[in-house]
Amino acid sequence: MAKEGLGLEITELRLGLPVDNNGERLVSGSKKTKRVFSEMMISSSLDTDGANSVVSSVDIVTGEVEDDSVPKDKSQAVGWPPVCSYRTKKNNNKESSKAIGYVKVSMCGVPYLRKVDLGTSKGYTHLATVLEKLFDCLGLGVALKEGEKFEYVIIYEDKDRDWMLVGDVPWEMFKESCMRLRIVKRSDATGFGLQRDLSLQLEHLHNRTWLTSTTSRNGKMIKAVYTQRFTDCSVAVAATRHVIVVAASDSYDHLIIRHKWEKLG
Amino acid sequence: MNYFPDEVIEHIFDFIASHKDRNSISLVSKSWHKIERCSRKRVFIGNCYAINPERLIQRFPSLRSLTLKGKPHFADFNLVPHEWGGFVHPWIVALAKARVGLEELRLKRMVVSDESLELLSRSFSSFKSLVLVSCEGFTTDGLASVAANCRHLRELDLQENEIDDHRGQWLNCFPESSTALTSLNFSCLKGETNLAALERLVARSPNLESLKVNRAVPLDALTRLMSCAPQLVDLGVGSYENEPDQESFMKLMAAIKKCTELRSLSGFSEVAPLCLTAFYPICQNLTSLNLSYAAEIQGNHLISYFELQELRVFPSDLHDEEDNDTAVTEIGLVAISAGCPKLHSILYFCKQMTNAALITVAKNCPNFIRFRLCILEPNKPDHTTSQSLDEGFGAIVQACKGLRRLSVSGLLTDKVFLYIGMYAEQLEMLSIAFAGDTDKGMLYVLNGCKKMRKLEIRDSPFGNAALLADVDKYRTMRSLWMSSCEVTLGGCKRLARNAPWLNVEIINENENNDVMERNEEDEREKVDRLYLYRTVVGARKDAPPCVTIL
Repeated sequence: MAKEGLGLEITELRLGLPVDNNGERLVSGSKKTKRVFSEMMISSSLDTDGANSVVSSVDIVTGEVEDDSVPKDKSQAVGWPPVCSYRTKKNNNKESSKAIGYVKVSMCGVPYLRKVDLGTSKGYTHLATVLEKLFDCLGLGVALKEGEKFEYVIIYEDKDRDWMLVGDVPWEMFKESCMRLRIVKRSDATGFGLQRDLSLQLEHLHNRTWLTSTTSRNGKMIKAVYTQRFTDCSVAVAATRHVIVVAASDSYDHLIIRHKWEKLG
Repeated sequence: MNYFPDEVIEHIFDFIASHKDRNSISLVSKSWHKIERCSRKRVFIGNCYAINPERLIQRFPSLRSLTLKGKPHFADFNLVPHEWGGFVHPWIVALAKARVGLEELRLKRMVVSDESLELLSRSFSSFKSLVLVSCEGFTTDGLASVAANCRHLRELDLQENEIDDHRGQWLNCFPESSTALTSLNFSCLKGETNLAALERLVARSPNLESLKVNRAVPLDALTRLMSCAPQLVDLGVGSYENEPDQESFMKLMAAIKKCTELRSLSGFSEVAPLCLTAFYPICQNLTSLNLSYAAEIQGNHLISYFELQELRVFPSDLHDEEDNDTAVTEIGLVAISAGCPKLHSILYFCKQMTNAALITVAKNCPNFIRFRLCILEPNKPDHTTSQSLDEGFGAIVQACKGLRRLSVSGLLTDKVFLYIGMYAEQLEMLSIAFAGDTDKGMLYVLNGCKKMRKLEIRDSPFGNAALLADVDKYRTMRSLWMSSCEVTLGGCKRLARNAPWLNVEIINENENNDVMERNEEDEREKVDRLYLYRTVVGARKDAPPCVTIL
């Protein structure tokens, strides 16, 4: 696509946080407007027809996660799990310590959790430096911003319990909504049979000219490739077990591009 | 033995420390009963409503040490109303009035007030030891009066109490002349501590063996404390989130190395891993490790402490979602059982379990006395076979012949109770939740476990048939708790009629609390919470409105 047309479309897309007419960012609240990992969770009723999957993948975007854990009522019974209230109060105090800005950070493959103080952190760059020190993992700063080739990506859980890519939203907003952090390996994604080449899915998939290929196995679509060339845009890829999230860099700070993969087999 | 003078017999009895044995002695003959009761120094009362203080003092006039327990265990999990009872004040009043030479008071799940503590501190001039576990109702002001007035205080042990911390100077209240401390535990206090006062106190207590500080004691203070108390056997540390700098770390390591007697470690609410590694050199000597507050230490991390006898692993985040990287599973338990052959007590919270793992654990550790397993998700089956965990727990009770306490969880049918009834001959306390299919399950336990003392059941399909099958069984038990089960009001009423020596308490926090005024139809209504216990003093007078004693 021509760069010109691209510019216009990018403006229109505004896939990040919703903005009002003045271009001011509205605080993200409802799930619908927020582009989150969990929206990409594949429900088990995934449409297996490759041709229709473009549309159905839009449906899947807003689909619910199949929760295979116990029915809520039992596990949330009074006094369950049997941890004495003295102890749960201690845990709740930990929760309130979040108000001061401490959040847990876990890194895949590392058997312990750490904590960082977002309250005293000055911004994304500073946060990345702190994380690098904590986990002895150089390059997290790069992962935060860009660097599709970098081994790790950083994601965070926000107040709505959705997993988001770190760096998407303005720092202040991130500070307020971040509940905890995870550093995950992009290569986890390859463990699910995914290829490294970037595939981008944009919100308005009605424009199917962006779909360039699909791959199916046993009648199930496992990969869809949408390509859209962006200039002045570099991307970082974050992978969890279920989804890949691709986010753009500063140039398009509202643009969050997503794709999802289904686990093979 | 009849030819010996009483003093000689009394002297012989002195060597018999166990409560059970002394109780047995007192049943032999009238003269032995008299000698025993007049010489008895230590009394353990597992349920404060089974007896009253007047009768206690009448029987044991030489009482020196009293242990009292109040609320039922499930009070820990918010299943018992706050105002249920368990007040220690009447006991202290009675003991003071009778001028009992009380030296030691140990309370669990009782309501204690500052007034009680003040009275205690002024009434017993030889008072030496105060141990409060899971109690509530008092503040640091009460502690201040104990510190100030109990001139011979050796032990002040506060475990998991709800204490209103007035951030006063209670530690300052220990007089300078107080040098007899052997044990000081204030880990449950939430506020700042006067570090200088604490350090002075520790420095002038050469016999201090057990020290457990609270979260507010920073690393450098801990290092200093350990340096002036290298004789410590039992240490509870505070909260150390941030990595120590090089110098602090070296100092800490040096101090730890000097504590060659250290056998028990606890605390660690939030600990930077580097801090924890400082303790590794002494870990091989540990017999007890309580990492319960350390969220950051994951169960799958292999623990191999050869000397370890007790271990507690709590869930780090109760609201955690599926966090597969860091979840505690059966793998951790098997690893622990393989690495710690001396393990006899374990409390283990986990996400999942398998029969195979439990069978392996049973093989590795046949010496369990306490085995408490809590799978976070109720009714969760063996995650590899989707079957119930009957066989796994069956293996545990079969292999661990000395098992005295068991908590079961996960998907369980009546069969597991059949196994428990058959094999758990020494079992004294059993906790059941979301388990079983029919009354048969409960009956297997009641009929089979001859030594059962405390049975607590929640959310399980046991009803009147099981409750009423053998009323006399409850004479041999301390108490029975059943909540969200199938027992009805009618069944409870019938039980109360047939067993006047039981207090049958119905706890009902609904609006209409007056159970007795309901018409007969409501006899079929299920009882939300039932707590029954044997007693020689009849219905207690201090029950709140939400409790009805049938």
